[in-house]
Amino acid sequence: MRTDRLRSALVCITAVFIISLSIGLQAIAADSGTDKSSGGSESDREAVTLRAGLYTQEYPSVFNALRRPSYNQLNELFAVTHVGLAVFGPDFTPEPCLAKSWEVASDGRSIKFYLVDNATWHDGTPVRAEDVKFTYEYWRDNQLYRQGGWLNEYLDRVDVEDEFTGTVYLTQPYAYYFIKSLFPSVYIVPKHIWEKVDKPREYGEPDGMIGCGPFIFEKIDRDADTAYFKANPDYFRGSPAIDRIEWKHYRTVDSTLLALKKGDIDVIIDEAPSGVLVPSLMNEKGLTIEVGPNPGLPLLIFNYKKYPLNQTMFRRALSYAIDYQSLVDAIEAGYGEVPGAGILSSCIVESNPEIPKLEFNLTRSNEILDSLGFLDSNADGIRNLPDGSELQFQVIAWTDGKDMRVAEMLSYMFKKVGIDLQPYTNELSVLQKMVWEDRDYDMHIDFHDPYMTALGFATIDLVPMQYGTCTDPQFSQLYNATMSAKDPDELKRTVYDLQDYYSAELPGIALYWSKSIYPYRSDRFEDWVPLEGYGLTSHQSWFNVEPVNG
Amino acid sequence: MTARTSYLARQILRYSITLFIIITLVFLIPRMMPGDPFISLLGEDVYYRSPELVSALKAEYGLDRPLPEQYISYLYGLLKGDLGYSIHCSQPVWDVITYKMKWTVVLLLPSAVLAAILGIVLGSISGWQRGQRTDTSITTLFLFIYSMPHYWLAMFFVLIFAFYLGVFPLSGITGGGLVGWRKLQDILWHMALPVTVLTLFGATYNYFIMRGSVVQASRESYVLTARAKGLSERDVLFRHVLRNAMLPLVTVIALDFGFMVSGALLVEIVFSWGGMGTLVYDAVLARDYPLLHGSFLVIAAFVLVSNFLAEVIYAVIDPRIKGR
Repeated sequence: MRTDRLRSALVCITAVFIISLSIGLQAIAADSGTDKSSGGSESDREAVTLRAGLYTQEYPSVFNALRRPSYNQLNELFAVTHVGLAVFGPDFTPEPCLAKSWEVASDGRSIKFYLVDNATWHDGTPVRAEDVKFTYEYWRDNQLYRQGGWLNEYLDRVDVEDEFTGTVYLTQPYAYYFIKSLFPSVYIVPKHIWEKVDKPREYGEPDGMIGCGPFIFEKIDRDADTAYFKANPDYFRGSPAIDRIEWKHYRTVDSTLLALKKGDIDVIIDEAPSGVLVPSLMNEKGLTIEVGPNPGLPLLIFNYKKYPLNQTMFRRALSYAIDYQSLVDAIEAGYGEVPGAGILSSCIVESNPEIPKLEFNLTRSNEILDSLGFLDSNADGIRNLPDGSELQFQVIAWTDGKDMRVAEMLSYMFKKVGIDLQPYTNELSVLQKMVWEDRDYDMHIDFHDPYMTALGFATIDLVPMQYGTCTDPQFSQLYNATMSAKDPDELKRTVYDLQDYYSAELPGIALYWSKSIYPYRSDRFEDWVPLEGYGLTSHQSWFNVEPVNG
Repeated sequence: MTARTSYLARQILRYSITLFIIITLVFLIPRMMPGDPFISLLGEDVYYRSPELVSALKAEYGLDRPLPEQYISYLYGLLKGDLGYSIHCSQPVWDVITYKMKWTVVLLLPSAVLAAILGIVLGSISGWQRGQRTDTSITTLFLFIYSMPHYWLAMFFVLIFAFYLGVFPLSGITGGGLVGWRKLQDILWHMALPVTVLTLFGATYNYFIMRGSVVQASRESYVLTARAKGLSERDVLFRHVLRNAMLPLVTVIALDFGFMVSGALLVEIVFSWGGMGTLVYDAVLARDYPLLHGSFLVIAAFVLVSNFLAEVIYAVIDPRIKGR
């Protein structure tokens, strides 16, 4: 009797394991056919393979170059298969890529581009000016990302003159700005594939990854959460220095860094780990940390609709109340510096080095607040407005933990000058509605991407895709001048003017200038060419990087 | 109709009503959350800039219709076996769930079984030897494990066994690039740490219930009778005490199976294991209503079926229910 029961129990347990094993086997059977087609051969094993890591919430469920949750790290991943008319140089200057040259019309409303004549799509079809026209109009008509909105607002049309020549016509004289920001970031896609696709965000066929970039997409292994790429021997700028890339997805920065330290991956795409993680990476054998300037920065943004946030002197008092060095030390473990009043990081070409750094001066802050009549009339430690109400504000910290730490530190600092600042966070969608749609906030902290967009997107209501509230005509005029600049010199001059305005009026305050921190396995590959703020896996890196030990 | 058939019929009716209420709730609750599924699809730039595009998408997915109409359409779809189309994944919900569920079952089925065995065996021994050194040692150890957050123990295991000792992989389901038996070996190797963590946590829970149950049962008079009959201690435990002490654990183990599809979220994240836990997490962030409906419904169905099976097993093994 007991033996029977024991036997029954064993049978049950064995059955459970067989079920789970068979599910695993079924998964293997399902994809063994596709695995045979790629990788695994002797020659592949000898190839130079880069193992890269990417940390983000998830790989997109539909893998095509036009499907990204938003503008994030996947942008850099798709940059291995796709290129734009230009690529960013190390200082964010647009350098020729698919377009070998371009000419800007004297009125700044059109750009004539000349394509290279030896570019082909990964399926062998030649790249033509028709593809460029199709791409720009397709991004515009399908409202793809921020670029789609910009194109919708300012792209008039693209005319094709011959196979390799075309002209982009704009509704405003923003040609140079267009070249600087959209030529590198709008990836050209093959017309013969995408013209039959009505819903680019849902397209999941393999040809959705066909580009003309230095690598060819092979497959994505969902079980391994890894995307595979192989070098494009026909790439028009020459063959890349490595043969294959295995791009593995991780959900957290911690697991990505552990994988790097352990040697499971060689490099991390795009996102730089925070400075506070650097000590855990130091003294790791075979690991090198590339530290450079970061053009991206956190900004404190004010709502001009609210009194006294719309008063320059009040904003100045707040700027004196911030201990910038403490923020650098606590948030970035010292990997950063006190920012300038002109916002733009000193590493940006157009940044004016003459603009003074922001100053932490509690005495000055208190003097200004006193002079404005904001006194602590009820002696509760918080200053009062002339009508008796407390000087109390809310600062929105987005859902990232770093934002909340910054908000808490600001709250602590402002308390010292008698201002009550309450950090506030909520569901991302709630915050987005408050900031983007209702513009109902006092202050918010936003971490801006690299590049000079911080000057425009943060604080004014001039061009689309902004959340600002400042409607000062002088500011709009200055910003418009930067957009209308016709060459690098004019751009620099106009950006200088805009930085002067920032310094004088403080519509937003840079909280610190951080460093780019890029750890990589120097025992596997060397000679990376970083694009500061966007990581080591730049376009230039694919031709420069060298495997260690041959 | 026999008493047992009548009992089962009443249970089926009760479960059907419960399922209907769950179906209604999983339809309503995601819609009560702030946010919009199209923010994640379009990105916030496009979403706030192009209200006409958002309206067109809402119309396409039927989200512009009145709520009762959407509800009826949803019920009609369920009757046809159609769970809908995931906005975030751009795939049929059923396809997304079956893929993720496969990996959750692979991970959690062995964990639940091992946790049950470990909990029953050690709980019985401890309960039977209450206050002795074995009991004290095991209880202390299990209390220590039980008081830790799942994810913390998972991270600890990753750090020790995967990073420092290097005997297991850091994360993932498989390393990729393998086929056939080598892939199976690789999956088993990747499973080792998450299964161990989940087993330990499941076992601690089962252990304390089993231990308490054995302690309680050992005071019953039938135990005294068994001893008086001259049975060995081992026979008293395994032939008399264990059978009665198992009753509360049947429910717990059944519920373990029910909750296993949703209960390993943090462990899945630590080990980058793409199962149901991470699917639900991503679906909540994306406000993907169809995917949330489907996922919650499948999870609820698991819980209900497990409960129902527990009741059936009860009816079979418990003479008091047999007689009702």
